[in-house]
Amino acid sequence: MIQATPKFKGGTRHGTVLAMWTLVAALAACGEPPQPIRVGAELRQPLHPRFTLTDTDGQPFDFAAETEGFMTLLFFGYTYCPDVCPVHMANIAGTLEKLPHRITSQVKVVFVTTDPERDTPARIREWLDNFDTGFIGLRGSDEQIADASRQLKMPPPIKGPETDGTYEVGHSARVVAFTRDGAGRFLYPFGTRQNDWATEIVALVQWQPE
Amino acid sequence: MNARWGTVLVVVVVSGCGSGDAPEPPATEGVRLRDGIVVQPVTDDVAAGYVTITNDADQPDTLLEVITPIAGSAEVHASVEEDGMVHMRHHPNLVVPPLGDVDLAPGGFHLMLQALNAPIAAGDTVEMTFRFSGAGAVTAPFPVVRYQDLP
Repeated sequence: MIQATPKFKGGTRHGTVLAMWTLVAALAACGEPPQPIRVGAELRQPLHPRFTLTDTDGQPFDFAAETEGFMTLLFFGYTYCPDVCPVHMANIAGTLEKLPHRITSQVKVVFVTTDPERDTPARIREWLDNFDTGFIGLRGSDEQIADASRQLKMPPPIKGPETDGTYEVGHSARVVAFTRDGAGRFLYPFGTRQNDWATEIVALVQWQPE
Repeated sequence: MNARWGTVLVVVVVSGCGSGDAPEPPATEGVRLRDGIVVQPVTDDVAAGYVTITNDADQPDTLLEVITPIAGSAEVHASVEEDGMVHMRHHPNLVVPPLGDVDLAPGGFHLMLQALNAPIAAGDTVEMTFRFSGAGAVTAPFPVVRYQDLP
């Protein structure tokens, strides 16, 4: 089992942000009642996708089985994407590195490439390691990735026209959050900031069915 | 196509008003580049840049090209979300409104730097030159930061 084990990264933060993080950490540590989900958009129909792709070690990764009991954040993107994809990954990684281990040990982050042609396992691993060595990277055939996308109610990835040997790949901008019961329940749009992720990740880990 | 012709027209008009064969109008007070940053690339192929372009003139200005020693190609792209999918679109001839700003910021317009000439890392500073149809060439230093440290 690979767990999200954030590596330390330095950086300067303002006092207010620090105070906010301290509050989040304190709430998480004191066993406060579960916090409400504030940013994530709740799906009317929870998602229970069944797909198996290949991880960056070349091993089959049965998504439902491998993430059982964890709060999982799932994102589809590609490593040649300079804007939306790395910003999402960096915001999640930057949040996890500041949350207490008792929260982060219950979190998995799964990245599925929408560009298996260029995204080799080694390249996905190198790209993810820049954010967090615990992030899981998955790859499959175009058909497998399209099938997983459809099960997540996302349109399948679209490869754009090639110019000068490069191309873009249209993909969903949203992160799907799976609660620890294995159901995909919340969507997070691009633009979710680290301050929001901090409270949301704690709330998602603590989430209980009503 | 219309935008391209508009730019050509603007260039012709500008050069027509100039003092003869000056190859490049000097940088003026017309356009400023503020808070420019380049993000340390995660892999060494592509990098993103962000900046606020402020036009202090009472005429719109058009960004003709971006030149930097670090990349073979520097283009303005836009991340556009349509039907739940995000796409990148090349956005040539970005127009900066009079007495207004255009933000190149995560999730929207960004500089797409390709064919990087050398590795760049957080702590470096990169020189970027933006050439506008009205204001001419405007150069500013862009510090390199990590994605994790984007404001």
